[in-house]
Amino acid sequence: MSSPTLNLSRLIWANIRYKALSSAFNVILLAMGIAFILTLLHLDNQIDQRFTRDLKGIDLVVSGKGSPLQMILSNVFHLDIPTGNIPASEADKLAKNRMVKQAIPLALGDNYNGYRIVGTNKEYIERYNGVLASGRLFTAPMEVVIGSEVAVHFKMTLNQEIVGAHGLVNSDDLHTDFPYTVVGILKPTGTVLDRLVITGIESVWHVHEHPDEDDPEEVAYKSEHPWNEITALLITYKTPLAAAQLPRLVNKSSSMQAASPAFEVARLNRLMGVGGDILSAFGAILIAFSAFGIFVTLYSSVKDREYDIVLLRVMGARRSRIFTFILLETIGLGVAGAIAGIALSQIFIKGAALWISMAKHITLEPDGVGHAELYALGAAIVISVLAGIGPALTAHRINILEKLRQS
Amino acid sequence: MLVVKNLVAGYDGKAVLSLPALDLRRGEQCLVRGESGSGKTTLLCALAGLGGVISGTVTVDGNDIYSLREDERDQFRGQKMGIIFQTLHLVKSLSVIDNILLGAFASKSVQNLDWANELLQKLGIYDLRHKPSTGISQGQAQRVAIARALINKPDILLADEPTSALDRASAQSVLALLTTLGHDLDLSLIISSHDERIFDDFEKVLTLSSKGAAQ
Repeated sequence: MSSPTLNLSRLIWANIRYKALSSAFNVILLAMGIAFILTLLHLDNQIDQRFTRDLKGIDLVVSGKGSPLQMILSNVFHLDIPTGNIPASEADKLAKNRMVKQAIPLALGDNYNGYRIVGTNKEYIERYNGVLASGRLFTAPMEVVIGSEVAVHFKMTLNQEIVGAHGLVNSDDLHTDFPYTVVGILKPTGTVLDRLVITGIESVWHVHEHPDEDDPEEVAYKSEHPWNEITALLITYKTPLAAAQLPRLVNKSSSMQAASPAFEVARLNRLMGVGGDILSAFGAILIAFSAFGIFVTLYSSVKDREYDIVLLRVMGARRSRIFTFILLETIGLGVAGAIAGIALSQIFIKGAALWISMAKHITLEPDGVGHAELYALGAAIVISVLAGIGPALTAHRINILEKLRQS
Repeated sequence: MLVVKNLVAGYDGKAVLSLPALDLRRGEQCLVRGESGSGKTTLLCALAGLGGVISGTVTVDGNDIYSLREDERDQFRGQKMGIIFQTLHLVKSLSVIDNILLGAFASKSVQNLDWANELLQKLGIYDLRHKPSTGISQGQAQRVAIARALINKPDILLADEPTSALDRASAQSVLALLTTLGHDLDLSLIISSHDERIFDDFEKVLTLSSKGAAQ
C-alpha cells in the first residue's frame, strides 16, 4: 500500500509512470547494453577459467604434424579432430628425455555416443585431480572409468558394458566385438575429465589392431603402420630451459610436432577476442544510446514540466531540492536499467551455458551476481547522473518570474 | 501582517508599477484591479517574494522578505503564503490529493491529511481526491488549486486573476469561496483581476493604471 503522504519517491515514480513509454524504452536500451556486456564478461571469464583448468600444467603437446591450434583443441580440450598419430616408440623416447618431468600418452579414435574414449594412463586422471565416486580405476584392457557428466547423461552403473563407435563424433560404425566394462565412475572435477570415457592405452590399441576388412583404407593404413601409435603426448617440463629446447627438438623429427598450449590458447583468445570486442562495442553503443535517450527524455520532460518546476519553487522548494529531484529521477531510471540488465544477463548467461553444454559438451558454471554487477550498477548511476545533470541544471536555472509572465 | 513601502517593481530592469504604500492586516481582503499589462502579476510576484523588485520593501510579519537569502525566501514563502495562479497548472502526473499535498511537500511542511480532506470537503471535491488531475473539469481544477494554496494554512493568500477563465456563475462562486475561506481562516487575501464583474466586499482596492501607478 502506498504512503498516504507525498514523498520524493512517489513524485519521481509518478513522473516516470506519466511518460511510461519513453521511460521504458530508455530503461530497456540501458538494460540490453548492460546485459550484453555482462554476459560477454561472464562467458569470457568462464571459458578462460575452463581453459586454465583443462591446461592444468601441460607445457607441451606433441602430436602428428598439423595445425598447432588444432593439436591443442583436440588433445587438451577434446574439441577438434587430431592432426595425426605418432609412433609410440618415438613418444616413449621423448618421454624419457631429461627435460621432461611427466609425459602422458593419449590415444584417441573412438567415441561413446559423442563422448570421446581416451586411451591413456592413470596419471591423466591424477593430473585433473580425478576422484572416484564409485568403483575403481582400470587395471586391465577394455575396462573404462567414466567421467561424471557422461555417467549422469547415460545413467551409467558399474559393470555396465558399453560399445564404442569409430571416429570422434557419434556414428553407426560400432566396435561391437570389443565392448568395454565400466569399472569406475568419477566425481565431477569441472575439467575436461568430466566428459570423457577413460581407458588404458592398450584398450585402444586392442580395438584397432584388427582392421575392419570391409574398410580398404584402414587395412592399407594398418599394413603401412604395423607398429603401435599414440595420438599425442602431454608433456610437463622439468626445467624452464625445456621451453626453449624441447619444442625445437621435437619439430626436427620427421613425424612429430610440438605445440605450446599457453601460446595457442593466447592466440585463440586473440582470435575470439575480435568477435568479443565487436559485441562489447555493440553493448557500449546501446548504453551510450540509452544515456543519450535518458538525456533527451529528461531534457524534453524538464521543458514540458517547466511550469511544474516553477510551481514547486513558488510553493517553497529550494533550487537545490529541484536539482536533486531531477537527478534522482535519472538515477532511478539508471538503477532500473542496471537491475533489469543484470537480471537479463543472468538469463543470457544461463542460456548460453546451456547451449554450450549441449552443443559442445562443455559445462560452464555461471558465477551469479558478483563484482561485475556492482560495477555495472555503479556505471549505470554515473551514466544517469551525466545524462541528468544538464536537465537538472536547466531546472535549477529556471527564471520563475519570466515563466510566470509568459504564462 | 503585510507592509509595502515605496515599491517599484518590473522586469528586465524596466519599472512597470509603483506602489508607495500598502498595509494589510490579518484577515483583511484587498482587490488589485487593472487592465491587462498594468502590472497586476508583477505586483503579486513582488509581494510573494518571487522577484522583480527594483526598489522599496515588502515586509511580512516584520520580516523584510527581500533581505532573506533566495533559499530562505523560498521556504518563507512556502510556509507563509498561498498562491493561486491565473493558469492553474496542476501537475499532470499526480492525483488530485497529491497535487494538494504538493504544496506541503515543496515547502517541507507537515503534510496534514486531515486538513487536506477538510479542504476537499469545504471545496466540494472530496470524491475526486484519487482521480488523476488530468481527468477533472476546469472548475474542479480551480478548486484543487485553491486547496493546494491553502494546504500550509498560510497567513496570506495571493490569487492572480482567479476568475479570468470562468463564466459569470463560476466566477461569482469562486470569488465567494475565496472571500469566505479568507474570513473563515482569518488570512489576508489579495486578489488581482481585470474582471469588471468583481466589485465589492473588499476592504481595500488597489487600481493599477496603464502607467503602472497604484491608486
